[in-house]
Amino acid sequence: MLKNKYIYLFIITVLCLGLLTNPAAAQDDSLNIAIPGRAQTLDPAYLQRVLSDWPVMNSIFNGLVKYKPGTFEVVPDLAKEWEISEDNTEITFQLKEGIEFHKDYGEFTAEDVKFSFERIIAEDANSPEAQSFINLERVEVINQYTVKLILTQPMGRLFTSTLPFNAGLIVSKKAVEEMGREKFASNPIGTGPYVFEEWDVNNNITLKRNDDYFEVGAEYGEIVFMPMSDPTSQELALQSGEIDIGQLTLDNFDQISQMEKFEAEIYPDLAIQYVAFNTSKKPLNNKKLREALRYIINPEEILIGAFAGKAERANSILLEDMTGYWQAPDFKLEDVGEDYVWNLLAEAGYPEGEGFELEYVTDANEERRLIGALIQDQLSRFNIDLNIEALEVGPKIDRWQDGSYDITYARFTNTVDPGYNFQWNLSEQLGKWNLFHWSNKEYDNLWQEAETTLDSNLRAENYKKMQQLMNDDSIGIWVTHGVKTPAWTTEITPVFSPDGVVLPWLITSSEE
Amino acid sequence: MFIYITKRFLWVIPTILTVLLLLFSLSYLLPGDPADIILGPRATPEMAEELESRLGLDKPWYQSYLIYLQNIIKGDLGTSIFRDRSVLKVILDVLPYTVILTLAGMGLAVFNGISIGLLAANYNNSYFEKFLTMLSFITASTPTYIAGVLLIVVFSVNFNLLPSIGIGDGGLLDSIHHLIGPALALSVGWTGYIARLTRSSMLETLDQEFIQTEKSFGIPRYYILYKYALKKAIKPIIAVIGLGIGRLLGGAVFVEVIFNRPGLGRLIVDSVNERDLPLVRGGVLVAALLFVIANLVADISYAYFDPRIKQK
Repeated sequence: MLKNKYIYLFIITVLCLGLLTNPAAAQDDSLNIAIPGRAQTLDPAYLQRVLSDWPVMNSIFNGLVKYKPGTFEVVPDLAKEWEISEDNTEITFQLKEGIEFHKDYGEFTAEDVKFSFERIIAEDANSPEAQSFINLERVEVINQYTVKLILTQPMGRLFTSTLPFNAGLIVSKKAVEEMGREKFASNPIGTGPYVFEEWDVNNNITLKRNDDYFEVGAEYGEIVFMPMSDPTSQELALQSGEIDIGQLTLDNFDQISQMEKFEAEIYPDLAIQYVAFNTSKKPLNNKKLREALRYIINPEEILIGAFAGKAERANSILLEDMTGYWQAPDFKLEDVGEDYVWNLLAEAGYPEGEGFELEYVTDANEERRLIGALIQDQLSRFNIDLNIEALEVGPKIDRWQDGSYDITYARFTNTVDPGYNFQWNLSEQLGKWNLFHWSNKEYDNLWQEAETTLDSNLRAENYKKMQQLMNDDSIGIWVTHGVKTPAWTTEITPVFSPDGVVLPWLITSSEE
Repeated sequence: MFIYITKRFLWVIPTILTVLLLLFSLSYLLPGDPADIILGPRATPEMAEELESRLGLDKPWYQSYLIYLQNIIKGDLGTSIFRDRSVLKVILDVLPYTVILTLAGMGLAVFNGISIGLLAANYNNSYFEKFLTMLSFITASTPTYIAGVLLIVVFSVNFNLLPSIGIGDGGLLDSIHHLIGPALALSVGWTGYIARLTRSSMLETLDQEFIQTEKSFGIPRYYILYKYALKKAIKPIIAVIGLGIGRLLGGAVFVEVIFNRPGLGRLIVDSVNERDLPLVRGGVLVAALLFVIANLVADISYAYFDPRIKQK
């Protein structure tokens, strides 16, 4: 009996020791990168969620052009050079030669370009990227290494966001035809710096380095993208060394970024968060009243209250270095004094601020409720009642679309092309995603003109004018672009895009 | 006994039918236009149309309910919106991980709970017993979520002994290594409960006459305790294990999210976030089935171990 006991004890001890040693020994040649959710597809023509799909696709595929790392400047990638016809509707690309697709799917040629783009605009494609190629009529193969894009009319966003982003990534024609669309979405074949290896039951995606990459190859032999939707477990996994790059929550940003083992940085998000006034409904169809509200609502307080003071104020829909950036004037209460605002209210017909209640529609999450409460408090200083309704997404969109609200708060994702970001305020978006319920013919025309030109000076001019129009009508307040807060171990040196998305193949080890 | 079991089986049918009706009405109860909610502004009208026909929103509700029922009887739970795979396949891929986690949690809870309970009964009315009672109170009232985060902070972040995410590389030892933390976190609440149950059941048994008789025969104390008393005292504990499985399945949702493990719970959370209606329906249906089966097993084992039950 006693002897048995000791044997058991021995076995248990050995087992425990065996299990407890060497945990989470991250292989030196492997990088673990957390993504905020499960990637939904790896087929660039059907990208669903930018945050989780894009970093993976971006490592597997190349486009004809790409953003120069760390900037939004467009430089050649698979294309060597290109020529644009005089009327801006025919673009001829000379392709680089001798580039091979992964897993022996053959050489990259003009046929693949034609296939990649035409599959998006095909009628039965059902691709969400059809918009990105809206004016593309067809793609013509001139010879193996020359390809021509033929447009119905010039397309402003072609080089700024269509070609360098997911819609412009080149897939292997042979692979898609062999596998079919559905299988390809989880077995992607591109020409990029990493080769797809495995998508496991835990939704981790493993990529292996492409040793035949046509440019300087990546340093790390393997990358694992791990979906982690719970921000706390991301922070903990980062601290236990199980992931190399993750995102921090704003609440813990200071604490963790000060630790010796980690570095972290704050990047502006490629998005716009704003307060929108419903300009077609009483009482905010009154411009004077909207002006008064612009003085009363103070975005700086929102940034401190809801973003821990970490987010920058936005003064435009666009990030500062984008074409057409125009800084909207800040309506500061302390500059004009309270009396001025009381006067504005009086001119608008509400002398003591009293006599009306505003409906505020927002999302039912903590951050948005907090923002609503801050605005409510600011308005109450001028005797204006704000009735906050925090709704689930469905009913919120319903209210947005039928315009039954006075003020709302929204976050819209942007692209690098201004045309995309400004389209939501067009008249044709009334009843859809135009949250200002604002219609301005001049705005519409300027947008249309900018869409169909490649002249970036003209585009910039137009976008500036459009922002002035929005400003003149005081249709809302830009609050912030939001933040991305990547953090990484000091063992690696990552490279990020200007909006804080990691470029995995450029990560180098910090050790000399 | 046979009649009792048959009765219990028959009760399963209305339960499942009610669950099915609730799940089906989900797409009608959800406010707003499903296409807008699920697909967002990037959707083309064709995509919206395809989605509506997939969700059966292009037909009257009774027709699509019948189609839904027919498909389920055929074992077809539909196709996931974002995974381009059948819901059944997606669920079957992750289900084993939830089952293993739940069983491991159960095993730990039973082993630790009975151990603590036995010790407490053995050292009744001592300070050690007070400590153990306190311990079982604390564990019984610790939410799974808190237990999970605490375990990660202590064992993964501070001492770097246990992995905090994932399921390992597939090797047996590595899989067990990745299972320790999650299973512990899951077992914590149930451990305290079983410990308290064991203690009271043991004390009750030790008070009975046959134990006194054995004592008077001079049978060694540990023999009485582990061989005769435990054998009798353990019956009510076995009976509640079935009930515990349902509770652990619920806890597994948190554990899977915190420890980043694949599983049914995390699948349902993900699909709710993605608003993947067919997957939500399928996941909840399977969870409900597991729940019903666990309760059925619990009831039957209860009746088996305590014959008084089935006569009621």
